[in-house]
Amino acid sequence: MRRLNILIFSFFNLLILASCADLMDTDSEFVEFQEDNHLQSPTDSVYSVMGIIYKMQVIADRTVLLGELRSDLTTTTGSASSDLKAIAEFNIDGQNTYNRISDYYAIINNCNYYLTHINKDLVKNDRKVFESEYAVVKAYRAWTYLQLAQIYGKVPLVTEPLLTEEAAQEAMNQSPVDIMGICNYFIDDIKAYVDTKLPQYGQINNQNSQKFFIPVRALLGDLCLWAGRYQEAAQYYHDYLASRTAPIRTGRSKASWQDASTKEFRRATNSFSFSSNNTECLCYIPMESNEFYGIESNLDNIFNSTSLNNQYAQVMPTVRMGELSAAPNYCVTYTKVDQSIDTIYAPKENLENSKYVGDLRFGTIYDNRIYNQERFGRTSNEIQTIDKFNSNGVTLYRTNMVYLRYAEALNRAGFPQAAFAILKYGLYPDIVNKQIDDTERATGGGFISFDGDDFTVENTQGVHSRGCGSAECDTLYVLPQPDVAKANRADTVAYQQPLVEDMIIDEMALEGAFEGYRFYDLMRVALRRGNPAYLADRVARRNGALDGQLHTLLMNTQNWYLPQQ
Amino acid sequence: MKTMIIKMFAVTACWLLAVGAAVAQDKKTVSGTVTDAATGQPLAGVIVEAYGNRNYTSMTDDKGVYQLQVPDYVSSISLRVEGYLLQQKAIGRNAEQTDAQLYPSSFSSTYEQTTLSSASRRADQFDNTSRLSIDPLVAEQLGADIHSVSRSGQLGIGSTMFIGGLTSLQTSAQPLVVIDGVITDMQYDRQMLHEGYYNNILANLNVNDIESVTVLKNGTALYGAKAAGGVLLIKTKRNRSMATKIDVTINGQFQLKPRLPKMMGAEDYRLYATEMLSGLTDNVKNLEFVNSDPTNYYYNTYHNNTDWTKEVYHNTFVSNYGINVQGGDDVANYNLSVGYSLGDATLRGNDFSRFNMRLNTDIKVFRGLDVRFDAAYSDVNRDLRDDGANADLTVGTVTSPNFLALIKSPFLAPYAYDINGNPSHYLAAADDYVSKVFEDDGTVLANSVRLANPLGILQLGDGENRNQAGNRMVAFSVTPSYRFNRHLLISEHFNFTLVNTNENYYLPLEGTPPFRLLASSNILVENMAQSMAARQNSVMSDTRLTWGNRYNAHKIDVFGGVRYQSSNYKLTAQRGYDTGNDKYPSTGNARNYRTTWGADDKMRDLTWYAQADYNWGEKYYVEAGISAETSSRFGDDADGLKLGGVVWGLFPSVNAAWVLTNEKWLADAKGIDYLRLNVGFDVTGNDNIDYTASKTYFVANNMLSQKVDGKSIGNIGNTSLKWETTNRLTAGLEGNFMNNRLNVRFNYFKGWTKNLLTLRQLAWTSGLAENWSNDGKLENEGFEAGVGVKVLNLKDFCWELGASAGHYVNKITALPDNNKAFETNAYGATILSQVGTAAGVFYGYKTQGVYATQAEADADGYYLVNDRNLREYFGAGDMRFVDKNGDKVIDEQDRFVIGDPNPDIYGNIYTHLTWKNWALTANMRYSLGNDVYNYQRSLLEGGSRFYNQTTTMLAHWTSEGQQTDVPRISYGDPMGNARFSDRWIEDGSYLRLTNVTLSYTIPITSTYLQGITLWGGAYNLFTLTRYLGSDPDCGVSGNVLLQGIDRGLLASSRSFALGLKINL
Repeated sequence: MRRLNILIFSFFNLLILASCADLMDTDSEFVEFQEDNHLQSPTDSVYSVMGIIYKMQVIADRTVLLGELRSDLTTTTGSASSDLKAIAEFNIDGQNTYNRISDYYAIINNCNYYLTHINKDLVKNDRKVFESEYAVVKAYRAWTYLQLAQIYGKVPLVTEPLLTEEAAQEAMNQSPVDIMGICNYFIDDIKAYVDTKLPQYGQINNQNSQKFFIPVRALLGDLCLWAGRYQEAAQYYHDYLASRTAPIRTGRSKASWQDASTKEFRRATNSFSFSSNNTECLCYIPMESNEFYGIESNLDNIFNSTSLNNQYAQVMPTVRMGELSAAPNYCVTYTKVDQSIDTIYAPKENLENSKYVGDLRFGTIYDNRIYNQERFGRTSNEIQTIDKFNSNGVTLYRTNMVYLRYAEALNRAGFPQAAFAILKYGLYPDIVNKQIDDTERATGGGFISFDGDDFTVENTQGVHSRGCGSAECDTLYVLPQPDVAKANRADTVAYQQPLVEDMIIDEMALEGAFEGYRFYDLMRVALRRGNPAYLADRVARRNGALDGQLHTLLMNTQNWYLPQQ
Repeated sequence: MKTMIIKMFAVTACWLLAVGAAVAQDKKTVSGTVTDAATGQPLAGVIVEAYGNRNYTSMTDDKGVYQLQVPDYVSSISLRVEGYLLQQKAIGRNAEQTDAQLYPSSFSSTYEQTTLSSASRRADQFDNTSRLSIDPLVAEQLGADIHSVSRSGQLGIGSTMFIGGLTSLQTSAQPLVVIDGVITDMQYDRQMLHEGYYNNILANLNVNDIESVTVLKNGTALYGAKAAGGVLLIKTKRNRSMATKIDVTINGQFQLKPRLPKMMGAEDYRLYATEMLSGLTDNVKNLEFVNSDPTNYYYNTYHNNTDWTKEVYHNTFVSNYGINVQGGDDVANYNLSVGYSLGDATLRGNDFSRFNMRLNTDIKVFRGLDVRFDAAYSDVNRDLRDDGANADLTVGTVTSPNFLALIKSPFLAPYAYDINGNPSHYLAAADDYVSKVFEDDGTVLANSVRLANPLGILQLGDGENRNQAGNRMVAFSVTPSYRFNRHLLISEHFNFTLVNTNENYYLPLEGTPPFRLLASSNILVENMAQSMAARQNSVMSDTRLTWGNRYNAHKIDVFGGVRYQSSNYKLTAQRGYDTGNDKYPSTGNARNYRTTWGADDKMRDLTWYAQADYNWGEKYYVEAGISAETSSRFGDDADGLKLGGVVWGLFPSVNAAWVLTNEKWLADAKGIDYLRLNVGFDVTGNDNIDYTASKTYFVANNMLSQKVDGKSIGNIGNTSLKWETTNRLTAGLEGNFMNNRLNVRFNYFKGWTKNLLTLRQLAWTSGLAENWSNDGKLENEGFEAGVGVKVLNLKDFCWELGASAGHYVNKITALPDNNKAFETNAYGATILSQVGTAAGVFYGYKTQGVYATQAEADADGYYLVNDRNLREYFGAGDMRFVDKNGDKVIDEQDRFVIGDPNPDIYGNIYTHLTWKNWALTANMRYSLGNDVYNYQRSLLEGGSRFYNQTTTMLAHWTSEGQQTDVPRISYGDPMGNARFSDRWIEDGSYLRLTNVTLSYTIPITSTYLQGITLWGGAYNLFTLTRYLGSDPDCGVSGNVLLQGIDRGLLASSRSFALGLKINL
């Protein structure tokens, strides 16, 4: 009996003393608890990087829509969803599906977790195993913050992972940082990684995974451009583009008149490709091929007539888009028998199709046709196509847009000739020598030097030529010169800078229309010049006449940003 | 609340003091005559005992006279004899005239052998039934004590039950089920592959094996952290007699087809479809189905008058076979039962079969050491099909044969016609009589108007690897107990339970149109295969020390122990589309869009508990208990007692009872035979917390066409997450009056639930929308009342009549995010959760008839803003919605609370007659004042699709000036006339005769045959209701917020049973 009693008591004691905490521990095969996520193995690290891309997919379409719909280049059609209409009308509330600031912080929080927990210096086989991913994640985070600052203005700068509600609440309440602060912080944060090699994941789902990663130099260029550090910006862009190992050339694809040789201007076409396989596409957020697998880009269904939207496109080009496109001249050159070159300009009137007036990029990318329709047709009789989207994802960096930002940086850094050369000729040694004067070459040598083997007239053209024919021969498209010679070089540069900047910003519109850059390009210049009207004048005139109410709204820079919800 | 507890302790203390004073123990003599209440004849051999105290026992003599010496404190006696009901009788001032009249045991018992201070209700009349699971019997017999709603008419699918109102909002509020002392996972929240199907774990128990089902109303300390939704104790049969008893039961049930909505015939539907098409195309006349030329090649195809319901429903037969062997000696006792049931549901393609076996043994190993060993096995197999209207009509295609049978065009035929125009035996393909009109819009729209041939789904979906579900349950219990002496006992209850579930789903290709996989994508698929396997196992160890003693008038019983439970639920499932043909219906052959999913939920619980019962002289009872539970589901930083590195929830309960009739001053009162008051206060919890919610974790993200996985933060754990707490006050009385002819019971309760498990919004810097937290409160107040009358008690004829009524008022009193109301959308309905209303109220539009003329509509000038932000004005033939805020635009601001699924009152009415060897039992159930959202009717009278409609739609608006309450028809319903509104909210009140059973016991006694009982029964003989759907007793889910929704699941129907029970 006594023995039994002892037995019973020891059993009870066992139950009491056995650490309850261990007894209560459970695991799961379907989720991984924080304490089990060690980020020790390369696969863990790959999964984490892909997990960040997964979160980027959520905001991919928004990068385009918020930048484009609030600009002067596009507006919504009657068929647009109310959320899209609200964006175009600068009437975005917390219910708008495109206004979820937490989606950006989801990327950031995952980046922060990775950056805090990864052992970036872990060496295996003489190789720092996580170095590449570490740099990539830093770039994602910096890029996301730049997006946040462009969209929301001042935002909390959080660099530690938030893993409790209290921490998240505290972070939300901390004093926000403006775009200058954000840019300056992240320039320092990522500049050490300009030469870090990208991870080698090879082809994923038949796509080159190298393009999934943000190019650190280009991003640094952007951050410096926003921060007003123009020389650094020019240097980063230059080093990125003029890279010895992976030179990035403008290429010579363009929009052109098919029958210009016969001097009949009837049909125009372009040789552009915006697909992710094309060399023009430098970086994109890979999206799912269809909704079943996750988040598919919906840009195609928003900008184009598709069977899913019953052919009702939700976004269309504005009157101003047409005006911008019509303004330049299309320059055609004919090489005569004696090898001399004859230059003529495409007519601007009595064209078979008015959308081809001036620059051909818009006219060849955009198509709109009206069909006869049965009385009860449920599909639109107006079919719109805007051929600008990457079917594999949402493009973030594209060659010619980087060149234009490079030009913007050069111009502000004090090199308007080099900047203008990017528009008119493209930069390669011959042009640098011919078109840029000695003074500018001497001071800006490091910003504009290109290898003569890699960059030639065969693979380079001025960005303006992409829509306006032989811009290099266009005598109407010239670097602005003061009517009366200025007292000194500095005054001349000061005179030229805003004018060249205007030309660059116009060129950015022609080149990057429908890609989501426009609103931020206008914003950057307006902020730089301390002149909200730079943005307000243009956007409020998107439909031709000035929309006074919208103009007033946009003169207040607070209204350029979305409410933080 | 605290003061309440203090008061109760104070009362207890006073009693104890009073008791201490009364030490002197004088004896008294109690004597009297015991007679039969009907005949007045004296009863001999009646065992008379001091109530609750077997130390003082006597027996009546031939004249029915007994004499018993008892201590002075004894206040009542109990009387029992075979064939009569146990009775308690208070000892009055004149103890020597304590006479009693006993009632035959054919009446319901109104006394218990021991009185507890806690309140509970028990049901135990489960003989002579052909029901496949205990649920409907519990609903019938505990009408007011459990609010039950039948899940559907599927065989053995059971009921959703709620006890004491709705004690939770976003997690399960259904009761804890304890089978023979084992907390059993009812898998309330587990999803199955087939629409409308629920894996009822109770269907694994054979009704014949169940002795009783008890609802606890208070005194739930033992189950503290799990008891907030109420506790249901199920006891299975054990052997009690030394003689071997063999029972053979055979019974069968003939089920009739259920009541169905009256649908339009072929010609009416042809007109309907033509009218709807006239708004879609100019070329209606070119469509084959409107061509009335009999020489047309397609004439036969489109000129039938098929009642599709006849193809899909049938009258069926369900049968049960069982054998039960009981026996034993003074060493071992056993109860072995084996049963087999099989049957078809009235909806074709839904068959049921069950084999079950149970062995309950009690073994005396040696003096003091007893071992209880129980083993049970059951194997339930079913054929299944999707049931009810699709929850979401924007994707997929209609797949349930019963809903298809209603909406399928009656001018079509189930079988194709051959080249000579004769019906063939080839199944007709999916219909496409209107799809031509939509071809210009693309194949997706053209296909989405097509409907499958329900016979294709029934015939080609038939087979073990196609549409079938199996459920196997194995349970073992070993319970050794050692008795040290008369007072002290230790026991250990070890249990292992395994529930294996597997299910296959196959939607055939032939006869089914290609369908849209996702609402916002144009992916079309041809067919679908799914499979799943789940395994739930749990191990329980419950070690308990029990001690009890009596010190004269003081009776004390104490027990305490520790319970450890470990439970795992693991599920793997997969789904795929496009198997290519119907020959290989497995997910392995699915070529496209394969997905897998699963669950791996692990739970560990440790509970320490103790309970003490005390009574003084069988007059004053008090019970106090407490349990402390820790669980792997609790957050590490939750509020509560921190000990041993974990958090403990404390759940006390205290209750007291006072048997007034055992007081001398009331014992002699005329007309009052028994009166007991009781009061209780319980703190209980709901630990039904999401398994991983308290932890921060990462989830895998399948990406880039499933070629690679990403990993990202999936949850920010709320480390303070804890159980929901319900404090409940109960007060009640039970009494027998008028010479025990009238039994009255009443129980009042008021419960306050706090720390509701709700999803709260997270700060946006977290990158996540929400996580689980404890925020929000609700209250439940109500009562259960019952009355039973022994109307007639004659020599050969007894008649008993009774009824019960339950009532509760549920009110949400606080919600997270500063009482922010939230909406839940399901089946087209919006359910509003807001402070001040009950959980689950319907939130929609109010209607005021139909605009007869355009002028009427123009006078209002109401419009809606469509999803393209454009105004559309209501016109003639449209519904007139109430413009709540007077801004002319009919939008979400114009919604009202339009219905409440919670009943005002519910319960049962029963009667029981016996005449010689005949017995007749009838049970009715009723529910009053509950609203039902008739989702199915909203589709059958919505007038917005190419679905056949009910005959009500013949009255739809067609011309200017027409006065009607049915609006115009219009494809796609651009004006939202069929939106979620009071048009679809109906009064779900009903009174149903659920069961009438007549039995006859053949008076045979021979060595081999102890008796034969023949019985016949009728179920659901009639239902009084104004409800328009098939069955007012319906629901779609056990979710608190989704009550009172009718999606047209298979309705229960009238059935007739015949049975035989042979006692060998």
